Amino acid sequence: MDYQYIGKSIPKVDSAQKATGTAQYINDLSFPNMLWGKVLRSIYPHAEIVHIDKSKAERLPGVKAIITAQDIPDGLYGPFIKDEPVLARGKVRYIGEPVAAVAAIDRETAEEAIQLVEVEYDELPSVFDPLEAMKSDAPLIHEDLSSYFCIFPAVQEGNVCSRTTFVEGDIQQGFKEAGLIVEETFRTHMQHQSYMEPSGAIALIDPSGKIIIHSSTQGIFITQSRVSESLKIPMSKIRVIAPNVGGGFGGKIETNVQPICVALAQKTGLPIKVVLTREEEFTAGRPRHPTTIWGKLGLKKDGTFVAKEMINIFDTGAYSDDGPGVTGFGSLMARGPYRIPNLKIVGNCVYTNKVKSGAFRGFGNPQTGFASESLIDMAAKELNMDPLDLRLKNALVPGDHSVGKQTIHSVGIMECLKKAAEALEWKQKKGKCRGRGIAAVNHISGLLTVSAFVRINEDGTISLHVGTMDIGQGSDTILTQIVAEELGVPLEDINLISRDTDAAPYTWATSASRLTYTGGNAVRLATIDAREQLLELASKQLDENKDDLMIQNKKIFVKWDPEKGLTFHQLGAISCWVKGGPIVGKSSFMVETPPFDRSGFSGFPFGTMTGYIFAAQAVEVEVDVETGKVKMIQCASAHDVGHAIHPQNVEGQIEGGFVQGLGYALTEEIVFDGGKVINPSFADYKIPMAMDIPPITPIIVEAYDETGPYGAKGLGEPGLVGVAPAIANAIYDAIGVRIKDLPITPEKVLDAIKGKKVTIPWTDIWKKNF
Amino acid sequence: MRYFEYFEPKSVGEACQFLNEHEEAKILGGGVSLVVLLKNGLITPSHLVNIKTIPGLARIEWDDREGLTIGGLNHHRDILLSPLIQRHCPILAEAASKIATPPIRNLGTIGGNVAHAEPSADFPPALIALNASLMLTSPGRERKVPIEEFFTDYYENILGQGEILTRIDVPPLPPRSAGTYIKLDKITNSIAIVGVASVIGFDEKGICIYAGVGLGGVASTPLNVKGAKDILVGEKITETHIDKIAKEAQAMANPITNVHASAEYRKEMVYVLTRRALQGSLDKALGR
Ligand SMILES: Cc1cc2nc3c(=O)[nH]c(=O)nc-3n(C[C@H](O)[C@H](O)[C@H](O)COP(=O)(O)OP(=O)(O)OC[C@H]3O[C@@H](n4cnc5c(N)ncnc54)[C@H](O)[C@@H]3O)c2cc1C
Repeated sequence: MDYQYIGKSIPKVDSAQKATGTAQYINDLSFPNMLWGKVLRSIYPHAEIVHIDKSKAERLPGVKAIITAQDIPDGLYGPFIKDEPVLARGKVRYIGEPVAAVAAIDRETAEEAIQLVEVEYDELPSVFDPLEAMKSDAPLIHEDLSSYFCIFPAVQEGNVCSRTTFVEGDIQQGFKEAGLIVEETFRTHMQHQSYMEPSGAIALIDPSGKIIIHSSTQGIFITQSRVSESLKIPMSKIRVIAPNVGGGFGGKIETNVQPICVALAQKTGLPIKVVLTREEEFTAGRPRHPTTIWGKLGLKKDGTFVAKEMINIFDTGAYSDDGPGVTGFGSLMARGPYRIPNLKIVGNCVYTNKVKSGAFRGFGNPQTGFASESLIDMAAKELNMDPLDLRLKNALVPGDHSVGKQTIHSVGIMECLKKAAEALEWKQKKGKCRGRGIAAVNHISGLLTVSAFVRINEDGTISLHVGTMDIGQGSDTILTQIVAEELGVPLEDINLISRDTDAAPYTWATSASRLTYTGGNAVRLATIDAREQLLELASKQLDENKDDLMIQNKKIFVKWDPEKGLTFHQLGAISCWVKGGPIVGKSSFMVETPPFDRSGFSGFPFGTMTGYIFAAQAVEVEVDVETGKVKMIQCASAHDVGHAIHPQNVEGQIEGGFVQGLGYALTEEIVFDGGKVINPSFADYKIPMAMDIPPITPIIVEAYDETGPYGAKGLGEPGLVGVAPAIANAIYDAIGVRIKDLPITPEKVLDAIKGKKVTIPWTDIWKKNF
Repeated sequence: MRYFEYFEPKSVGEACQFLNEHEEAKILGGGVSLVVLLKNGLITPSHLVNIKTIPGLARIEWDDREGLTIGGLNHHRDILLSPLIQRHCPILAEAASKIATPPIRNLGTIGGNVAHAEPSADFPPALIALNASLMLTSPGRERKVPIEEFFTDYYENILGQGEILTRIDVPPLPPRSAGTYIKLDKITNSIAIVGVASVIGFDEKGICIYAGVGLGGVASTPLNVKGAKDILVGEKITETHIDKIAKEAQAMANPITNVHASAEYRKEMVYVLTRRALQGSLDKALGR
């Protein structure tokens, strides 16, 4: 099919602004009489709040308001389980939890003021390790768990706020048929999204009493909803506007400072700005869940996978946030892009007295993927098979099923694996201490809803109203391309109206790699609707059959008589002033089909997911056996995106995802001493820099998906997912040691070389219990 | 709130005088480290004395007898790019190249880097291996001290009230000599987990006539592996010599555990990297 805009790497619609530095972010915004807000945070991991004395702080000149839980409504919020207060109520559950907030004339005064607020605590026993937290005698972090409102039928027990189980076939029978069983326990760590722009918001109240929130967010409607439920304000009284967002990677889907900001604005009647410091980002943000994962894979002697069992323990910290979703989704993906007839995956989302974890590129998949893809290489070694061949032998093909028995038609995993391996010359001889590793990835890109309106203006230009957030990933460009394609208009004619809950129709967040697939479908359908209405109007005005008309160069005319026609300008004006009424195409898109067969599901917090995407990451490493340092030699990352609507953007996502995966695998880790983060700065938390980035070959695979716009599926997350296991597998290939514990630090490699045994704590009772 | 006054002296004398009169005043060099401390409330100076406005404190000069002179206010970037340094002690350029990123190298000064007395800083091990001296200037007085005597503890040095590090002197090396600086870091150019500098010089017969080894990141101060000189000078260097020095370096190291690495790992790496640094210098000096 020949497209005018689709499949073309046109300049991104926001690139000029970004390149010239004119794009405005939350910190660039300011309002008359604006105050600075600052949050006082808990210094204990678990403690009763006995008394808060605000008097000293109140006397500090420049302080305008100090609020504690007593001053605000007692709403609880959260995406899955409503368990989190805006300010700690009765007790604190992690070091960094908001206890009070101050509004003052400037940032320095606010900072000084919070230090004058005196809080008397009575410390409670705390628990930091999720395995400990699951024991029956562990301190309870949420005594009222059973009374919290959940948006799904959650399976809960003690500190386990959500347990998701998937069962297919008969694993007992499956493992009986296996000629080889590999079994191991793995551990993954806490990674921060490390977006360059810290979370922040400005709240103000307009003269009508409406609350306006400028929010650095991945979802304007999510900010609206969380502020509404936590502060008990009707959504009709809340308007959320987003400026440019300096990165999110999942960390800005849910709210952070927004409810606090609003509460301070309500108290003072003045605009309030709250922007987190980097330290606050690390201690009170929303990082990636650490996990402990026990997995067992059964194979026939010829390498055919027959059974898999996995127990995933996700440490969600003090509040559930996206934890139930991350645990459930990570567990759903744990089968991997393979046929495995007999399956039992259990995910536990467990409270501990640490900063809450949440959504982060991959959403549970990097954790379970690390365990799964390491197990496969362990099996390959036992069977003396090439790990690539073992994967290819078991990889899904079109017509195979998802967990939950959806038939998947667009499946490019084999091609991804082959091409990524090929790019590294997989079968060629390797140098000394060099090794190659590969990992396969499955993910989804169809989830929940996007709605869109496409309006034809009086002058024939176009307004696209859609609530999606482009946080740098390029969705504004993709969605504009789609409108341009369907109407045949230049990009300049399209006014994209998003980022404002008062102007855009409802959309769920920028998340789940979903905006090209889910958002693309919605925008395409809305544009087609508008186009049909235009044709309808033209057909009436020209008194010609609709089927005899065609669209070209912003004009609708009779196919064989181009002189007989009307321009978009004419049609727009007619619709607005004379006939038919303004043209508004609309679409409300919801991912509903194909549904899951849920007979083997329990406690899964999502409805339907689809738009399955596939990827393979392959790496070549060199290990310095004296220092333990792992050097990346070359890398390839192949992604099945269905159809690349903007190939350059796809490559950017592949490379960016890879680099974030590299940090996850090797250098990034939030380190705790008990409940306290001890490295809350970029001086001590190390993300890869330009000089650390190896050559990466991005490879686009296009297994056309009938259900996606122009055959497209998503991207975004999977680029990160396979990097850590690919590196672990490459290290094994290079020097014969298996690292089961992320991140792969030089010290761990050196210890492994020396033969030091690493035992990851695990209790076998979990296996029997679920 | 944090207030301080800002002062721009016109001469070293004026600066020293001012510092002498204001006990809580601090010298502002490139500001790269100082501003971080200031922002985090770790220091609360009454005054900042910006010595960058003083003419003549940034100069790199060579004298055949005296060797190399580097001004206290030369930026890391100056050192990276100076042809004199490339010719006479390229190890300093090598160390400079491993410091952070271009913005830091454009702002930070070698005097500040040394005066800050961060035990993991990259210049001190190289300067130790080069047997450098520091010129410390105070009102009416100048003293020249060997670099290793400068450091006293974590972020502590011997600078007295009103004293400024104005100059660094590096004596000339034998014609056949070479240096190597190896930095073990978590990501490229992040803080040294271990830094090892070695400089070796030979006579025409291949007998060692100069040796210096400096360590960073493994104790409360940068360390001078003094044994290097005793073990190597007068010898034709062999694997055994290298091993002996590496072991001595390892024995001297008294590192701490932090988020970047454990003490045990650091100690082990001192051995590995000292060997590599010595081997590197040897290979370079002998044209291998
Ligand atoms: C992000 C970052 C990364 C860094 N990475 C590295 C690295 O990899 N390797 C490395 O070696 N360093 C690193 N540094 C430190 C850097 O090299 C600094 O430039 C250096 O430590 C201080 O130099 P400055 O001129 O900026 O000194 P300033 O910050 O101005 O001063 C530092 C201290 O020295 C004193 N001082 C400054 N100049 C003089 C003088 N002439 N006489 C007496 N006292 C003086 C000041 O009073 C202050 O106490 C890094 C710093 C940052 C912020």
